[in-house]
Amino acid sequence: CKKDFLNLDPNDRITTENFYQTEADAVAAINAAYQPLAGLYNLMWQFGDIMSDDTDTGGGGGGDGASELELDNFTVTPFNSNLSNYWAQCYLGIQRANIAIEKVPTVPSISESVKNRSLGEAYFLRAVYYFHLVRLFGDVPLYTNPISLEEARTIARSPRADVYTQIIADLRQAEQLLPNTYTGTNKGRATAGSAKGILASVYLTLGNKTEAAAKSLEVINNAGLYGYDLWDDYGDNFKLENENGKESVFEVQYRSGGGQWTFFGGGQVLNTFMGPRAQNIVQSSGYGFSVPTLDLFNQYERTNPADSSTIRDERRRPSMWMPGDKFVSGPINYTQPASLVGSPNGFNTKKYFIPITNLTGDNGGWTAAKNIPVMRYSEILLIYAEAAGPTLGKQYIDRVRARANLNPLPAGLSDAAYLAAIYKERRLEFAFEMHRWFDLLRHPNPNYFIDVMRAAGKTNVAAKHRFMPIPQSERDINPNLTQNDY
Amino acid sequence: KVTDEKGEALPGVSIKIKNETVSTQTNVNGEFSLRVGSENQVLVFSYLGFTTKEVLVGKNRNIMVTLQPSNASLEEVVVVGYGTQQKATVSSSISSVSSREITATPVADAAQALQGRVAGVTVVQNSGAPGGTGGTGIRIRGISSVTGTNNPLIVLDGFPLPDQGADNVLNSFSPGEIESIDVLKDASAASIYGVRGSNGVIMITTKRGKEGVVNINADVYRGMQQAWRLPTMLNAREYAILNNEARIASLLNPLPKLADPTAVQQEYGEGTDWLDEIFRGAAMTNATVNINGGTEKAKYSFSTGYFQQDGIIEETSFERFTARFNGDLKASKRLKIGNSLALSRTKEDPANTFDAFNSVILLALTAPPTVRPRNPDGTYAGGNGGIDGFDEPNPVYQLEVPQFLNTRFRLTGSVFGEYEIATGLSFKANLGLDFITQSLRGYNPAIPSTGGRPIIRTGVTDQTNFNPSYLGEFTLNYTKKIKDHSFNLLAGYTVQDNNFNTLGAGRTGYSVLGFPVLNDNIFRPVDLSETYNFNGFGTNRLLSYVGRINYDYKGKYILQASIRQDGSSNFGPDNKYAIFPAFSLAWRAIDEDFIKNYTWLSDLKLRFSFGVVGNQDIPGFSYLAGINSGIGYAFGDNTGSGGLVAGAAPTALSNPNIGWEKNQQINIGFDLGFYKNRLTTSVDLYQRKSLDLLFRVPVPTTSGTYEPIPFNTGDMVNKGIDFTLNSVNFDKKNFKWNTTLVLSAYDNELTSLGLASPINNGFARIPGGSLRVEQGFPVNYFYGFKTDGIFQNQAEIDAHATQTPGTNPATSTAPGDIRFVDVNKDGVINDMDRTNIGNPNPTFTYGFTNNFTYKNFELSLFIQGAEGNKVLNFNRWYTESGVSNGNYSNYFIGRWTGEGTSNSIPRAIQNDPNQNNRVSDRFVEDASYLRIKNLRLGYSLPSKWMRTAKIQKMQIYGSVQNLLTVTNYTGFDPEVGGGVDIGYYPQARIFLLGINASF
Repeated sequence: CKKDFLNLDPNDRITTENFYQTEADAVAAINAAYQPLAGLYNLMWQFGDIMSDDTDTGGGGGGDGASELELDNFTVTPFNSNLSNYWAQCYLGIQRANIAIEKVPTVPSISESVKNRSLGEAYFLRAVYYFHLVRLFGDVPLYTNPISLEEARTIARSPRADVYTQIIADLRQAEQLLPNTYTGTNKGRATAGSAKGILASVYLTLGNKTEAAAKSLEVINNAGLYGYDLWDDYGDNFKLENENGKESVFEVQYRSGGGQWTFFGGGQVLNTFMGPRAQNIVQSSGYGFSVPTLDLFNQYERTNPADSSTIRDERRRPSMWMPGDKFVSGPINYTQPASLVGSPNGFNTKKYFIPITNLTGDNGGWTAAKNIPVMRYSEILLIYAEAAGPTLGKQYIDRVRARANLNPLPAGLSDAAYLAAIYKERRLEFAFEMHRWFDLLRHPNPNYFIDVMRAAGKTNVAAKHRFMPIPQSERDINPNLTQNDY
Repeated sequence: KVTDEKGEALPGVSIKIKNETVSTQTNVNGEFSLRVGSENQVLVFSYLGFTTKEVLVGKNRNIMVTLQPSNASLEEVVVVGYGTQQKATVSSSISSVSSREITATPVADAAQALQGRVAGVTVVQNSGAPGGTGGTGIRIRGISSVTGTNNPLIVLDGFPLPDQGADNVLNSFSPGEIESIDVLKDASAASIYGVRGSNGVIMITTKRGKEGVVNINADVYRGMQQAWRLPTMLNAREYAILNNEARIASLLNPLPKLADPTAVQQEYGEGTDWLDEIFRGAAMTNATVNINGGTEKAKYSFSTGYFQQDGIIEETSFERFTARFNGDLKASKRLKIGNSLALSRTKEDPANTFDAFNSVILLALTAPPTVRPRNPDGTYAGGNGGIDGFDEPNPVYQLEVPQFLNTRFRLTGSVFGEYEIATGLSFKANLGLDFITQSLRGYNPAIPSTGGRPIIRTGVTDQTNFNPSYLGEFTLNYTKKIKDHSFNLLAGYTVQDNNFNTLGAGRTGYSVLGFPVLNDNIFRPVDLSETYNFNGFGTNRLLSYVGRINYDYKGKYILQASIRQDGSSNFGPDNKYAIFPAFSLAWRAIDEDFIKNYTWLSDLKLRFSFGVVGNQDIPGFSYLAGINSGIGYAFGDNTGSGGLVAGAAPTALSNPNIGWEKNQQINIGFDLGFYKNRLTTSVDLYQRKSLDLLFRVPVPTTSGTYEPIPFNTGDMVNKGIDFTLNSVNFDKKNFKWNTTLVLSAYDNELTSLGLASPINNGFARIPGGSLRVEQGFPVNYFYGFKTDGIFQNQAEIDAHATQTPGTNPATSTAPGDIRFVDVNKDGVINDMDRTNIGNPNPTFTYGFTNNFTYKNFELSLFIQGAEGNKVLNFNRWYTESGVSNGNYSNYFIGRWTGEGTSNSIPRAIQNDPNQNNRVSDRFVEDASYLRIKNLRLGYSLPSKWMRTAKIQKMQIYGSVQNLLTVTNYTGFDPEVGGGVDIGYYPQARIFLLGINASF
């Protein structure tokens, strides 16, 4: 009696002992491996865009955005909270994928199709997370089984090459196991096309043009199988109703927050964080972070180079706010002003804009429903265009340009000029989609990112910034984690 | 007739015939009559506070008896765990507070009444919210835990109340029903409460019936409260000038509305005084009635009270009804039974004055004077992003529109029976319960406003908490005296079962106003985001054995030893039980013959104690590895707020060995009395060592989990001194003056973090925190940048470590910016340069009480204060930086405007490229204060008038609380719980008048 009195069972929670029994448990386990993507992509702009020449921190000034400013100005230290959050989200996903890979085959009653799909998703996600880690930090701890606390306290960094080997192996497994399409409530899961697309991007990052071209062409040639195509209107990509649409190869899924105030929940924070500051056209008034640079703005092709109102590139309007842009909806009659706190040129990022009047997409707190694309079909086209070279590839970049109301590239460009054209195209096509910094890094010229960022006025930038410092909070606990030069 | 030593009649004196059961009591005039059988019988006169006197009846029919006040220190009784003890034979460190001191200050929460009254007890009122609802931090001898509770265990009439997690709120109970509070400070006194004793124990004893005629006491007061020490903000014109200057410095155009300060002045005059809009004068009322009386066989005490306090912030209030019935019945010669029963209902209408984003005080500080709370037609107004650059919530709207009501019912009671098995041996059973039922309702109607972010979707939330706690306690007590040897033995078995249940729901999106209910027929949610439901429950159980022995030889050599074994359900199967031993020794040297010659010395006692106590405050089941099933992801055609598809994974690893925190305490003390105890003093020196501190040890996130795991690791030391001095300065018939001084000082140091890493705590609005837990420092010391004046010119910037690089003053460090000290000397100012910028703990705290009696007048002056404590005044982050075009304090007028203009207040710039407003010593202020906490003047109406009105005693009194505060602190109030001032609800100054009558 005395023993029972004190030995209470928790009756309001699940423990490791009573889980992984049913197909639903297995699906829940793999869903959990997706979940860190939401947090990771709520942070991604701070690396992909703010560190690059595409955007600056913006915000309210002062202590506002201090950790973003460190990234923006290349004064980053291992204490930067964005770094540790990025690291943490990736490893949360990796461990959960590892658990799924271990547990899913042991679940007693699971259909073969769900088992294969779940394993394919786990391999895919593990690769995606390692790909994000290895590009930002270089050598990172690599493990492919569920890790114990003791191991996590002592694990050392593996060479980058080993990490890439694992990424490629995982994606190759995933492309075999994953289905081509989904319907209904499974939309948003990784498909075979997602795995091939990311694999093409990995090859391109490694400079393996042959494999990158082969893999991206495989997707292009089977576009019908995966349901891929370009939207006629570039802006359709960023409409709520077109989520997981035909151009989406893989995107991070969000729902609006219902008063959620966190980066790491189910909602997307970009709408609030990038909305024009204090203009009240998005929830929580808009914080005006990740402000487009004048240099990016000047890349949009104009009819009259001296007049910014003659921009003919149709990607500008859905991508960013410029002074004079109007937005009218219900009680809102908004005109983007000539300047704002944190935005001297009156620019703001617009791709993730859901107006405050859209009570479904943006209904409270910080967070909105708009998904964030990880890869769009136009990127597959541009990967092939880049990897295959001008002769085979030009028609694909021209297809992307045509959609933006731009003329085909001139014929007979030199390899260097062609690469420059691809880079410019990618910059505009994927502006604010958090690719830019990683594109700068993977350029064949290892000093490319330094030259570009110096030209953008970031005089602090140096070769060491190719890799970010390993978060100090990790090194405090694990003495075997060596540090990058920072 | 019975009188005191000055000839005043003593009513209610009990008179008994020795060795018989016949007894009576004196009446109002001190008179009595008793039928006696023989002249040889002896009458025994006894009265609380007086020496019992025996008188032979003899032949005299009119017996005149004068009772002498008893030697207080000998007769006084203190309440200890599972019993009482004579103060004279106490060998541990215990302090007592009487009902008179508790009710001297008009507080809603008796916890606040302890402030400055007990050496070693530091009390900080976290907030001036009505009814003490903001909580009161009681810390006995520093802190024992970093992550767990530091609240002392509160034992109400033998019932250990469950810890409330946050700082104590004892406002369910009326201070008027309390007879005494005893504070068990050292481990030897507290260790009888084992795993809950590490923060000391506060024993509250409520009023019980006394033998004698019915005594009715009524006390009514009514008071007026006002805000004081409000800061001065800029008026409309000054604000326009400064805002323009700050915007231009940031390369922003001035807001068109403010561009011409003269026009602004014409339109707005002085502008909106937002602090005046939210603060008000407010009333408070208190009425209590105590009725008690009884016979030798049955005694009762009935108290009832009503307390109502409006807050000095609009739309805040607190109301309480209380009733208590305590009864004692001598059922037979050997059996005593009794009960305590307290009922209360409190109703609180709160306002947000505690969060760093939307506290109405912060909103009122920042709201521009050029924004109006209302439009001329009476509708709500507020800042507009486009026009004012400011659209933070309108504080008036925030106070008036969202409605919250917290109602709490509490029933706390027990029944006990005590049976005398044999002479000196008794068995006592005590069964108690504490039911708290709480209803938290919120209603956010979408009432329109033309600015200031109105609520756009009507929402309702409703939550009910039910927290029952049950106690069973069985003790055997044996008292024996063999010649000069006195023994008291206690053995006991207790079980306690604490539960919490919570059930709540919320809906948003009501299409009509005025139906704050969750019924589906009023509003049926169509989308998951419009609805939330939650339910939680848990149980914590304790099963314990206690044992104690008290022994003294001739009352001179005193020994106490105790042991408790606690079993707690909070810990894993292998780690459920803990043993907490303690002992103490005392030597009453005053009773030694060689000291008796020193007649000026009236008391001398030396005390030594050692004990181990514990802290079990960790969440239940943290020894198990759980699956977090709340990891959802938004798959599907989800373009809105649809539900997340469920995901599940472990987010924490487990530590099966998790156990309690230990606290070892050594206490050395002495009590001294001089000149028949006209002057007494008590000094205690102590060292508290916290061992096996529970830290949530951060896990590497490389593990794929992120929740820190509780480990028993880390040590902390508190060393301190408690000092009490009582002095009777004058003791004449018409004039009396006595003084009490209590002084507490301690040093806190975290000696080891063990496996844990330094923890940054603090301020939610700026990342990185402002308080730090680190080895070798006091817990939660202020952590930030050191400043070194202001850059007067570019040359000074060039010569200094890089702050924000660049040449454009709008985006980089420029003259007029703060120079931060390059602590690590690496040529760059960044987070690595943060360092210790102050200790929030006071060097010492004190209370100084003076009571004067002149004829029928009584004057008491209570001064209380703290010395050496620092406060991080983060109000200034809001009022010196123009957050979102917000207002500035008028201190900022002295800002830097050119070389040599200021070396302390930086230039006005809105986007603050230099981060002048980061956490730095600039905001750390000396918050030492001396406060006239209470001044009370009472006048007792002459007793001859009263006699004709059949009133025993009537006193009219007036008092002022918080009359004067002497401090250099620039914020609202130097008394800040937690050290970081983010505009908490300030305390009011209260003027009140009252009347107290006994019948």
